[in-house]
Amino acid sequence: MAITSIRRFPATGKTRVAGSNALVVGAIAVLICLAVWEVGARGPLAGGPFPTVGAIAGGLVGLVGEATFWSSLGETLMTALVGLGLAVLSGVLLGVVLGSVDFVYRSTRLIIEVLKPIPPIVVMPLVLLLLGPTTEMGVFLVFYGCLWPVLIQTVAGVRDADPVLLDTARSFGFGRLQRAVRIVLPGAAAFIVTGVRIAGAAAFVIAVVSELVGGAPGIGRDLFVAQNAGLYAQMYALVFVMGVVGLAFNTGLGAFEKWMLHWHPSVRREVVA
Amino acid sequence: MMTGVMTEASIPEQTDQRLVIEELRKTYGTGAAAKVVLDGLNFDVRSGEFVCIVGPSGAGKTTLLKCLAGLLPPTSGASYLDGIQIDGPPEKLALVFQEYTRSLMPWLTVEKNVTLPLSNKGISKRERRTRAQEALEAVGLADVPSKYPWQLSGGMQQRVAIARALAYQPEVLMMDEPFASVDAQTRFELEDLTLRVREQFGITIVLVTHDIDEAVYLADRVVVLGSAPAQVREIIDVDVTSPRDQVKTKADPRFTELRSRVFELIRAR
Amino acid sequence: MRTARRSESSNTGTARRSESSNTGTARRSESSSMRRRLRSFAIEFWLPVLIVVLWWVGSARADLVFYPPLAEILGRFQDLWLFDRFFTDVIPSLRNMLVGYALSCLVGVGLGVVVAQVRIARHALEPLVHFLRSIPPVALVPIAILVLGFGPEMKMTIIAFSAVFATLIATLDGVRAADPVLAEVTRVYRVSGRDRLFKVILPAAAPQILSGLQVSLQIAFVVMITSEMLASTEGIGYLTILAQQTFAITDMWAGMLLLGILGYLFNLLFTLAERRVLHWHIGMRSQAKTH
Repeated sequence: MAITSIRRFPATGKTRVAGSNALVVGAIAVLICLAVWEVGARGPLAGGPFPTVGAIAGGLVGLVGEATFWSSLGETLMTALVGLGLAVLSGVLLGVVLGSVDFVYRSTRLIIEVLKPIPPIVVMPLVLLLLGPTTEMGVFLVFYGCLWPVLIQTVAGVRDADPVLLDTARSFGFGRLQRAVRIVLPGAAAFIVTGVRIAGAAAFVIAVVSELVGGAPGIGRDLFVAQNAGLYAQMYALVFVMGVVGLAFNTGLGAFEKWMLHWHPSVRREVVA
Repeated sequence: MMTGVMTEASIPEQTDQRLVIEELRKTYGTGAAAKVVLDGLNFDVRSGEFVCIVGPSGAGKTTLLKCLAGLLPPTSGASYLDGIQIDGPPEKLALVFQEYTRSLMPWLTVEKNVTLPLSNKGISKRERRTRAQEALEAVGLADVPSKYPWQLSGGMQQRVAIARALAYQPEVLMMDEPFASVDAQTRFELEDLTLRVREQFGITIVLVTHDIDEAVYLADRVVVLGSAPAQVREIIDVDVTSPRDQVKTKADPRFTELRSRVFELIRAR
Repeated sequence: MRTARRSESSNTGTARRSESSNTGTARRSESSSMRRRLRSFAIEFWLPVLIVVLWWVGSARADLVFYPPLAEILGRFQDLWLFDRFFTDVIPSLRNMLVGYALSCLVGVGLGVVVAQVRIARHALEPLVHFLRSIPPVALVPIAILVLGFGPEMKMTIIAFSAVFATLIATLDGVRAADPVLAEVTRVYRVSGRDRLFKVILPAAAPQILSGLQVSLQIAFVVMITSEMLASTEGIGYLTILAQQTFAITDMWAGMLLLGILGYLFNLLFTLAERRVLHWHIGMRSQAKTH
């Protein structure tokens, strides 16, 4: 009768063993994928647009040995970082103003609301027209794309500032600028850091877009050239490089955010005390 | 079909014993890092009985209850519900969790929370709603079926959790420190509610608590656990008159006596 | 967050007004709140309106090659997108985008839910997924062109493939981050099958899943445009970049305008849907904030 009520405990033992070997399992899965690719590239898909793993590795080694590759990569990173830097700088400055003056905030809210979800590639035709396929064009697109997250996060952080703290500061005779630097910015730091992380992840992607579609110098343009020239091994090698760079970007930004946010509460406590 | 469990010599024939716990051991980890939490527990719960398990904090009370509810496998030993070894959540058992904010689904209304466990029981939608209504009435929450749990106070949320258990129509109701995180007044109300519900539905209740007053006030028998690794120190019959009353029962000299007895047992090293 | 709180306070405002609408004081407060509303409306809209007016007037007067009159842009917008190119370009673009996005949602959420339950599958998949996600989505477009050609199938596939990872990772994280107490509740009460999936697992992970879906939507949109700009003979992205290359400046502006409106609308629709699905989450959070 009550047999249906009996249910076995889940096999916790077996899964726990797998848990300790997460890296091994992941590595095996990667190897299996590479093996499948290799078999496919040699067998049924031979002659198609799938070079063997060895050929791609060869393409990668060839790239690493070329000075032009490194200058392209430098070009791309430069575009991403300069654009990001400009966006952070102006985003934070603008954000503090918008966040602390209610009239300005409410006057610009709609404009930001409308522009925020429009990706940089939409404005690219115009920027391309004005600046041509240049690094400046790439930098501007990265700047445009990264501005919104930084700006929006800064505004949120500034508006989140503790009113008691601000009143206290005012009673001590702090001026507007002093209040902004001493109270509002440290308080908003956590928000801003998150904004920078989001923007940073986008920066590299936008740089590649501006090169691949817009023709600005960098590895994105190299990818376009490799595809058109039929240099398939090199093309896959470039995509692999982009994956590695993207991963490094994301990991670095994640670590940066963690470090900043870890550091942040102690700062906040100091201000309160 | 009926595995060897039923015929095992250690299980008595008569069905008066609902729940039998035999040499229940639970260790976490293995080897040198192994930590014994439950160290060979033996006790039973009779049909229709209210048993409280009381012990100091960190004595493994929750672990014990999770083993009994079939959520955790014991390391050795076993527990039996109506003679069948528990190795997964039994159908006739319901559990009220300590963390009412976490055990209710915030995306479901009160009524949907109560009916959620019923949809697999093969009963009609109308029957489900009636059951939910009855259960909510029994806990004094007939008027909030379409609210969300987070719109209610802590005490009311725990009432919803109790209603969910009641609507499930269990034969055994287990409660894991159900009133530990509500205020004192609400706590007394919910204790009396639990006693009423037990009268009304005639279910067997096993309640875990660290509050000695609560254990003695509610229980027919109190199982006293020592500090970890937990063993059964003693099982005390609570021979205080029923029905219980927050003022009269707690003023009863016998209540005071039993309370001191449990307290001494727990404190003893 | 801020907008949610704002709309909440305006809701309670209207409720209070309707409650006491019979009394004379209410009528007076109604007119004053009307004035307040007008005022706040004016503050929100004066700058956007001013910008459009300045653009209209400025572009009409000046003789700038790159900034044609706004009136002309709107005229071209109407002719191109609402008539000439509506069926040949607008519809194919939207179809590719929506089919690709729908695929990525289904696969991302479905695979995420399954893989989150099976530890070994999770460990096997995670390094691959994180690497693939790190590749800029548009960089996969050249590969897709090689493998799949220039047709709409290529576009739908590459949109789905690029967009799937954000949803997949968010679903994995969301399902795994669900409260273990809820898992115990479902086990004790023997909630299983469809109920477990639709009433416990998915709602519990919904906040994360939806933010993943939003990122996927943005990626899908960008990849749609990119795939058309790089390899196409049709579509909004293709016509816009073609207009730029052939110095058909007004057409280019009209294309940018349409793409901008689409980007805004997709996001708006998503946000509205999200608010509906997560109404419990939003309510719970604002509750926690006020207490």
